[in-house]
Amino acid sequence: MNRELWAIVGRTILVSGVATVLAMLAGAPLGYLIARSRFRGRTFLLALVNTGMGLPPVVVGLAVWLVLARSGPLGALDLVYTKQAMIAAQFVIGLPLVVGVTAAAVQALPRELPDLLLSLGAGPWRTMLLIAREARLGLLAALMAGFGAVISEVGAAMTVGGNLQGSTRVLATAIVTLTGRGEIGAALVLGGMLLLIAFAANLVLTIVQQRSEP
Amino acid sequence: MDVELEGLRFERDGRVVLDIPFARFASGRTSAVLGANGAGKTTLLRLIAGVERPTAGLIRIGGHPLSRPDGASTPTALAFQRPTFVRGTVRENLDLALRLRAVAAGERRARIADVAERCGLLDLLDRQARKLSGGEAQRASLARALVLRAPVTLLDEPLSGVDAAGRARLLAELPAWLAAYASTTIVVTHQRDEAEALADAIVMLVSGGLDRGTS
Repeated sequence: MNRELWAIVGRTILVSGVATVLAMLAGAPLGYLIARSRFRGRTFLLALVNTGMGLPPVVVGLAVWLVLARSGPLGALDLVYTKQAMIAAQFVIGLPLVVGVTAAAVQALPRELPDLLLSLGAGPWRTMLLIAREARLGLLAALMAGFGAVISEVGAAMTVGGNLQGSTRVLATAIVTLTGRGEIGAALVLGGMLLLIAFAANLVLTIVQQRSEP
Repeated sequence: MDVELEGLRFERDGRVVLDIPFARFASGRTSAVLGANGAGKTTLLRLIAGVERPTAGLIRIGGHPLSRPDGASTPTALAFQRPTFVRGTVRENLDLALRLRAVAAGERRARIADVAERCGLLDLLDRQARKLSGGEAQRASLARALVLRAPVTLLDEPLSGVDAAGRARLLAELPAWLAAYASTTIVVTHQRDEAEALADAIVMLVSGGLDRGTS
């Protein structure tokens, strides 16, 4: 049990950590572009992103399952009930959070800052990196929001991962299983561990965030 | 370096903001573009700085077509109407501007010390730039443009946001700063006294088009 428990903890951190990092890598530049660009339908897109920040995980899980299922467009990859499928689903859950929080953080910066950096000769990429540095408090908030959302979700992990012992079982799905079996004490222990992981990650990020504040 | 505008046209949301068949700002001189609010003055500077792209036409600096600002090869330095800074001290802001122009560390320190002394920034260098008062911020923003010693210096309403006493002081000091650090300079303003105090030549910008004014 002990070995399986630590495996579940490791798997939880791996799946949610990778999903969050991927969501940051894709979502932060996307949020920056949406905040900086002016195009028809931008407000509509932001409304979609903001709606996505509250996507029901089980619906995301179902959508990802439909894509990855044997009859789905990516069925040939044979990814259903794997950690990769769970990462994909959690990526979809985390992405709008990262995009939305990043866009808000970039929009909160002085309006002329990107133009200033451009005029100084920073070039588009360096301007984006300097803006990221300026918006680092918001970006860390995006990271915390993303990780918090994906590590605690059950619906998507259960739907696309299948909660397979020794393979795709993570803390959140294990808690559901134990509760269903009436093993409330064990479920509470895992619940405590889940909270502890979430708290430890947020503590580290908050320390970094607050040290960034001049 | 001369700044030449040829068939320059800029439209925003289907509206013509600027339409300048031809204009030349002479090398080594300070030219003022005088115009009412909304005449397109800021847009003109943003185009010359390469921050905006023209809808049509060409901008030449020193005979070369203008490209996007890019590190050390950027020929312009723009002081925005509303001083804008990155997080950090005035010194860090000046240093960043010079780093982006690939100026070596020793040279950066020397230039910052020099501009701080001349522009009265010695007491402000280690203060947070975003916490400066209006007049202090304008002074720091102008110093950041000047420290670059760019071939073309662009000043957008350089005395805006400054109280009357500060404005008079800046107006008295600015010509000496320009003489020390700037070569070709274009100042846009809606105040005739500013234009007359700072510039060798004045052109009027009316409804997006340039008219020759007084010299």
